[in-house]
Amino acid sequence: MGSIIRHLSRASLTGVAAICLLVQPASAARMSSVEVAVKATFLTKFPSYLDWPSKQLSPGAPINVCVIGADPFGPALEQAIAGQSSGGHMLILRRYPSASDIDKCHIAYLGGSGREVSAALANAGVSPVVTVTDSRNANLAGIIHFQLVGNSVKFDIDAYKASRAGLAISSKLLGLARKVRRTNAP
Amino acid sequence: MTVGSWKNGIRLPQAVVSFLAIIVLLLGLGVVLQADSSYRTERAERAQVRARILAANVTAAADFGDQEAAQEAVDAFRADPSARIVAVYDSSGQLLAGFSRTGEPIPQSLRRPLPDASAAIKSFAAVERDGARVGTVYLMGDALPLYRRITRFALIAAFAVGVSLIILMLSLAQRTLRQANVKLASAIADLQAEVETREAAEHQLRQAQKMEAIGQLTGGIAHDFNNMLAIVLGGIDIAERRLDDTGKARVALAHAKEGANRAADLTRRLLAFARQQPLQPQVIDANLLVSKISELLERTLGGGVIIETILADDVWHICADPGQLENALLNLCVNARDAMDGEGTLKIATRNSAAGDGSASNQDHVVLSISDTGPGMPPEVLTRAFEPFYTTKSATKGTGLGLAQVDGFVRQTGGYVEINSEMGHGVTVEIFLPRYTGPQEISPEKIVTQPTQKGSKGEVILVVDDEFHVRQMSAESLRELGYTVIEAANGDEALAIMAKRRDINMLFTDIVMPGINGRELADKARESAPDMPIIFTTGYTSDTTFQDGMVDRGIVLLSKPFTIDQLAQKMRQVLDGRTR
Repeated sequence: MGSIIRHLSRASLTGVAAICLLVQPASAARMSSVEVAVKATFLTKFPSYLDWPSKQLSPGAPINVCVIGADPFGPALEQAIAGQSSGGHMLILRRYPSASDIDKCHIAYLGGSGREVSAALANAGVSPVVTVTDSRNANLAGIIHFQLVGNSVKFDIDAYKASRAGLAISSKLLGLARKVRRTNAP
Repeated sequence: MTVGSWKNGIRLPQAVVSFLAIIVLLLGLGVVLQADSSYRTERAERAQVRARILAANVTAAADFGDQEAAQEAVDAFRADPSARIVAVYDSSGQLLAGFSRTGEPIPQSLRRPLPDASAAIKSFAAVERDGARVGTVYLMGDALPLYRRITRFALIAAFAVGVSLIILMLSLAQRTLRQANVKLASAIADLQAEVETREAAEHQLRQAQKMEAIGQLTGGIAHDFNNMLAIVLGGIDIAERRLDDTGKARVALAHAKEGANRAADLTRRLLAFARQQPLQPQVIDANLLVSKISELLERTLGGGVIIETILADDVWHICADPGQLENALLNLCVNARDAMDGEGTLKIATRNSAAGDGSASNQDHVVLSISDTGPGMPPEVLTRAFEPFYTTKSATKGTGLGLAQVDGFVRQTGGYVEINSEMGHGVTVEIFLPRYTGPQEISPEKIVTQPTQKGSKGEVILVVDDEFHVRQMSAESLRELGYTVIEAANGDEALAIMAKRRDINMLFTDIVMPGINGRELADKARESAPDMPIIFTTGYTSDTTFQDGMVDRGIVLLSKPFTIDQLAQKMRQVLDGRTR
């Protein structure tokens, strides 16, 4: 395990994708730098497994990857997203302080407290925005919901919500999810 | 046996067949190798496909570095028994998840060379997301073990081996058959030869039987004829002696006598052919005989025929009846003259032929050969030349008995005759007579003719003959010559007379008689009178009387029919000479 951590510290974080992620036990709301880097990387990778309605994402248009509210990533996300693209769409990082701008996003990490997340989720509604929530911030789950299982970063997917929003999620990504919600059941 | 012969169908040389068998084996091996190779390729392709499937399945896991998900995807391949190592590596080549079926170490990084496993099938597949490589799948599978591959291709191999074996066996069978055919062919040829030999032997046997039958018939007839001719000739002789008339009656008698003599000559010839003529063999110098004959021939054959005699030095002695041998030679010479139409060269030669010296016999022979320069004989005539009554001459010129008579006489003497001819090169007849190795006493030339010698009343002759007329004729002739004659009708009567009368000077007996025959009578007579002169008369001889018709030397034989002159001469010869 230690060797992998050593490797991680050595390897560039943009190429971290395939690494088994080991993070420090979550002692507080504050994430370790590794966890931050992993989640940032995940954010840049999700668009490849997602499909937006064409009116939401016209061909050649960039994909807006947003951080709404508090930003836990800092430069890690910028580093991760730099030069990335998905299906011919450039990934562009956007930071918005409030949830009101969420409709400008294709995928939005909802930072901040539970109230802010809740507001953002409410704002998103059934608009085709992939909401990414973090169990560290609140138990309120968006379409993708980060979890820390052991030392690994995992995520749940709410496929029901995604389909209502007109979003398609690759089965590959679904296969990777810890839990997938497919019906209206809680 | 020649391999090149096409007689028994197409023959393949053993080498070609072996070559074919090897070709079939090689083809089989090639098919197996090819199939094996394509099988390996197919397995490699299948492994590649599996690796790609896995790569597709672990895209997200590799992308997100999710070990568990990757392991889950990899573990699905545990169900595949041919997968030895299945591993997923991240984009930097580090192991993400994997399993090893056999416990061999899973390579931790793709950056280092993988351990060599030549028998294994290795497949790599890139894990891609949006065209970017996010990882690598490594799949190492077992190639099928050798024995399983062999089992897999055993059928083809067995087929190839089987075909080769069949080819070889067929070739062997063909060879055996060929040898059997050759044997069969030679057996058939042998059989054919045997059949031919047998046919030839049967033909010879039939010929011999025919000759034997003719011989017996003619012998029997000739015997009776001779008896009758003895009466006729004897009667004529006596009649001539007692007839004072010198006129027509005497001419008539002379004609009758000539006819009877010719008849007697014919019966002699028949007996000669039948090998039943009485022979009086003597030791003869063949050269002397030939010289004597050639003198005679010069006078008789006519001027157109040149006689050439070639006499070998130191020619061996022979033992034969000189008169008959002369007859035989004269016979052949006359034939030769006739063949040459009186113009040509007649060659008479003598030579020795040692046993095994190019001759078929294992005995020494003296050869007397007569050659002519006539047109020769065609083969079909040659084969029948010795047959009696077979003649090429016109019916008036010959009896067809000449060569048959010569052959009969020579055979009776223990020799044989060979006749050779080539068309256009004349005929050569060779008489082979056995060499005589006994005492070298050559009979002096006897005076041939003497005036009739008469007997006296004091000379008592006992005449024995079972045939009344013959006996009467003999007795009459002897009385005519002046002898005192006592007659007996058979052996017993003769013995009885001899027992009573001691004044008998000579026994004059027939040989062939019922009861005691002449020979036995002579033996018994000699018991009481060892010096008793004996004359045998006979018409023919038979085996019971003399061995092969040969009269023992020292016994005097008078062949029937005889003239009174011959009788007179023989009588005086025996009584005066006391030739026993």
